[in-house]
Amino acid sequence: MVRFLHTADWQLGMTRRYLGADAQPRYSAARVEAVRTIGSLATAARCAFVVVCGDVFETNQVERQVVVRALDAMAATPEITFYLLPGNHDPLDAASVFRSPTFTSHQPPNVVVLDTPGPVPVAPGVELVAAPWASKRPLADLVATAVADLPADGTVRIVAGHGAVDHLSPETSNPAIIQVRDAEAALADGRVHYVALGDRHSTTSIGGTGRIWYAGAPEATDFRETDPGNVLVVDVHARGATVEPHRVGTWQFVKHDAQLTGEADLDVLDAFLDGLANKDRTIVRLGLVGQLSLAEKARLDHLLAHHKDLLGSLEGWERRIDLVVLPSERDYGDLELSGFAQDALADLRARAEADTADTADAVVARDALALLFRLRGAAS
Amino acid sequence: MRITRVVLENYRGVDECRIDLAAEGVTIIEGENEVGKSSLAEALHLVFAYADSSKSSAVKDVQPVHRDAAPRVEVELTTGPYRLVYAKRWLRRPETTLTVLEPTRQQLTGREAHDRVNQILDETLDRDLWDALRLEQGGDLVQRSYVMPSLSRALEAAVGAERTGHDEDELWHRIVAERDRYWMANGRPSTERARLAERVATAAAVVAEVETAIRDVEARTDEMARLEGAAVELRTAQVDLLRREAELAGQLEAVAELRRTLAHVQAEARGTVSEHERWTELHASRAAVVAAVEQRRTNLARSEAALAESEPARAEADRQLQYLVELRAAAADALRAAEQVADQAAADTTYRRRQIEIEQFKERLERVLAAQAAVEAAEEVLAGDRVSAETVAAIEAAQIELARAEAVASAGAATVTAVAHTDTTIEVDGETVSLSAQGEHEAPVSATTQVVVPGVITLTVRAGAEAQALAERLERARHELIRLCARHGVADLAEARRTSAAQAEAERVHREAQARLSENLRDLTAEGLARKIGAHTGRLADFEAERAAEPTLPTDLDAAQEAEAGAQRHLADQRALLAHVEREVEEAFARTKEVSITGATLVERVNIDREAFAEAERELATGRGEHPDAEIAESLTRTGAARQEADRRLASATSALAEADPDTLQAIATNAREARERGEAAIRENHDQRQRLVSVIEHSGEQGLAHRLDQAVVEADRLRHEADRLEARAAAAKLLHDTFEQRRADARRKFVAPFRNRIEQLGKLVFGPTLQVELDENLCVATRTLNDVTVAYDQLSAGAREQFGLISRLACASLVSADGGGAPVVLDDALGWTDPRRLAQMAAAISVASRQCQVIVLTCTPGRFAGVGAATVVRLQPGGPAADEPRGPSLTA
Repeated sequence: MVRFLHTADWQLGMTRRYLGADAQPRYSAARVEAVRTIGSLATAARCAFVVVCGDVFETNQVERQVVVRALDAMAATPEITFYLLPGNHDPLDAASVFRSPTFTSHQPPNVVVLDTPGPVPVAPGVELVAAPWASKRPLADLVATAVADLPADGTVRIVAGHGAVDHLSPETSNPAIIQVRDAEAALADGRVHYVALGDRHSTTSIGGTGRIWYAGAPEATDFRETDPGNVLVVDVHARGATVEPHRVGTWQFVKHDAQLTGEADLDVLDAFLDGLANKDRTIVRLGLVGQLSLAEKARLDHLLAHHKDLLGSLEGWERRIDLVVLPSERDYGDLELSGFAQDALADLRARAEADTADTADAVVARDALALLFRLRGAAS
Repeated sequence: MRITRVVLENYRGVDECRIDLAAEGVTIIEGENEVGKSSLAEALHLVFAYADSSKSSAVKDVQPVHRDAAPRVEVELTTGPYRLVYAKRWLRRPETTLTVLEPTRQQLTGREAHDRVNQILDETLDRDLWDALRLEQGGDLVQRSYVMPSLSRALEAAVGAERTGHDEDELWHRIVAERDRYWMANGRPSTERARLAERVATAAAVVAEVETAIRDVEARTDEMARLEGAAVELRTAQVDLLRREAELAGQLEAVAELRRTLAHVQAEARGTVSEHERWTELHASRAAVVAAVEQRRTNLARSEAALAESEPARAEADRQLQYLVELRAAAADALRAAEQVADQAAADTTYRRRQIEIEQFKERLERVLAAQAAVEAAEEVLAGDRVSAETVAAIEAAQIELARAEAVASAGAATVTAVAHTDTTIEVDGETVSLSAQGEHEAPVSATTQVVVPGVITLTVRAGAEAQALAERLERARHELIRLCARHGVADLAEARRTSAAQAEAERVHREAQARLSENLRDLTAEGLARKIGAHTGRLADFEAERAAEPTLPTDLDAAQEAEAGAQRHLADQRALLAHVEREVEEAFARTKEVSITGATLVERVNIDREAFAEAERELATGRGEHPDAEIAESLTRTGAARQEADRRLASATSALAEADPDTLQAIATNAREARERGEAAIRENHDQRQRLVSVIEHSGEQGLAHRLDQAVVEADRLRHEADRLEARAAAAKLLHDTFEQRRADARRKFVAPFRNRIEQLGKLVFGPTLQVELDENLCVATRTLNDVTVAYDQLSAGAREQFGLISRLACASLVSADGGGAPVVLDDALGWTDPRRLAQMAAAISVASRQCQVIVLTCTPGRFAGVGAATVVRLQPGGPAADEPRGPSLTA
């Protein structure tokens, strides 16, 4: 039996452009910190090694600083060897980060790059079967190729692969897609005993064997992910495998849609944002639609500004077409305009409230109305 | 407000003055400048503005000079619902009194009165309007604003709409300011927007730059992968190429062996061919020699026959030539004899001709000598003094004059006549005269004549004056005759005539002799002629001495010439004969020569043919000595067979080589070698390319391009977002502004319409029916249009501007007064710029406007406003008004 830690898709060096000047460095730091956490967890769980199944780095053109920090984080637990598999983001091509002077000159002894397809002994009677990406567009199922000629000789073999599987991505035209049936056949034959995959950022078990897994990204990277932030502690033995997810991620991505038509909706939105845990490590994207009066819009602005201060990031509420702001009759009454100003106001209202209210012209007219309210407020 | 009465006391030059004013219509107040005409306007100002306690210089200035009197002003007026009398006295015993007559009677004094009046005025009077409606002398060519509450109210009432309030104006200013934040005056984006747009573009360019760099890295990475794949393929291919090249080398060696075999067979074949050809040649040459012997035998026989045939013709030709040569010698002798005869005949002819010529020369010489003598004689005559015909005529004239003088003298002169009694000698005028007895000597007495009887007496006779004059004429005539004769070398007239005739004759003779001379001499001289005669004569003598006696000399020239002609004819005949014979000799000679050559040729031909025949026979004999005919025939057969065998072997070897196709094989081998070399070069090139790419890729990998791209995209997104928001604000500001501006302009146009209409209504009285005006923000006239020609206010004449100043006031006052408010229009000596014609038209405008308001005209030029129809005229005089002179219906209260 062998116990090891299965992780993938660290995507180190990835930035999120909607994060502000405050959140971005914290988010980046958290993802390096996750590497230390993984090392500590592996030590604590008495794992024989850690295998990272691809996309260690976001790209081969990653910044030097990211590389040395990652290596430093792995070096923090020298008793644990990290086997790094090149994936589609960091393929082992001519520009590979794993071959860069920065990497090779700082590479600690406990970091091994799985740069050759095929088995690598990692412990007595245990082999890692590497299926590294040599380019961004491989022309074959690398996992199938790696396991093709292996004998069922009692050696415990753990496949380290990367890429989409046909179960989840029925992309018939992609020659590199991993055929689950072939992998399951290898498992059934006893040629291999566990298939550790990377590429999908949500922790996912593939097929019915319970021995093919995507570990998911240790820190969430996008709103679309369903279960990120985990690593897998895996026990492999001759008859099967036990997989235990451990949460290591500290950040969350939240996408929230809300229909706003009045004060009550604002109350609900406020309560939702209030209820979020770990606010400073939460990235929220709002999709707001509906129609508000000037006063309600003022409250919304105030409410969002408040939560923006608290959250790691809050975005998506400045789109002006989905959320229409139109002054109420009361707002207009408060303007107290007369004469030509009253006539001009009527012109603007007509344009802002026209049937084509979603057109750019109506949007400009609404802005002009808002400006009028602001100037009138200042004038009176 | 309407002012109905003004009373001034102790006011500047006025002791006391009461002026009643028409509440509606025009009141014209006329007066000299000094009488306080302008004081009226000033007083209306003072009474409302200054408290009775005021010590202001404005107040002090109105105190009468040199009099310690207290100025006082009293006005009666109606304003709004009020009618009141208000009076103030300043400086001494100051006092303010107010009597409100309507609507509720009220009496106040002092400060209370002053304040109450101000309260009433604030309540009922637009002070701006009050100020605006006063038009002072010469002033106000620059328009003033008519934006004032009372006019606005009137205009609002007129159009039935609300006028924009202060808040709206303030809002409008903010809207304009907001628009100006984002837009420049020319409609282009503000500097801030332009700069931001520039930054957005720059940021996008940075993104594109980094993206390009990343794409470059990716492209190089792909290229590297391709090169690595290519390297594997190249190495595999190279192995095949090397194997193929080795195979072809073996095939080439086999071909080389075939070549060597062929070369050996070829050498053998060349030997047999050579031997066979030698015997073939020998066989042919033997046959040729046998044939040559027969041929030359035939030739010899033929040439010997030809020689024999030619012999008789040659003998005949020789004989003919001999005959003709003899004939030619005889003809030549005959010609020489004829030539001698002809020469003699010619010499004889010459001889006879020269004889004749000598005779002719001699005759010419004689004529020449005679002519020369005549010339000499004539020249002798002509050598003396020349007396021409004119000279003769002059001497004749002098002779005649002398005869006349003598005749006149003898007729008129005294004479003295001496009669000798004895022989005696006397001297008359110094001339001795011998007289015989009874001899008489008469002498004319020309002047003084002395007659001396020597030793006896001297008698002096003196002529009178006339006799003296005659004597002098006579003397002059005589003297002239003597002078002429002496000059021409003659003694007298007769000699002159003779000499002249002789000279004329000599000239004629001279001319004729000269003519004869030149005719006979021609180009010779007399001496030359003589020499010719001598020479000819010598030659004749020589000829006669030498000539033979026979034939006889012809008797004369004609005979000689005839003999010569005969000799010449004979000579010509002899020459023709000789020429004919010589041609025949030449022809015969040529024939002989031809025949002779032909013969020699034939002889030579026979000799040659004979020698050739002998030579051929020798050659045949020699050849047969070396190779008898039988040997040649046998060897020819033998070598022919050997040659056929060698040819067969050569064909076999050649065929074997051709089947191996060495050219194609060589081409294939060369191609294989080149392909192998090219493969090596490609492998080297591939290696070099990969080396280069490795270093480039390594370098870009260290640049953190992904991070740079992230940063650039974040910055670009941020700027774009910012720019979007700014543009949205700019668009909103512009839309708000434009919408408001449109509505504001509409409202303004509507609002000012009554005012503009009233100005045009009054102005048409002055400028004509086509007048149109446009008003600006301040309700001032901006442009005037007449007959479709629009002129800006500033470009109008001073007169027109002044007229618009008044018309605007009248229009304003009439509009404001229409609803019971307003203030009087006060004109202080206005329209100074206006010409008389326009003045009348302005008067009409004032008249029309005054139906709806109060107009007070102050003027020192009474006639200026005479055109105002219905007006109350008040004439001011020092001390007070003289009289009320209402013109037309009086509207005085």
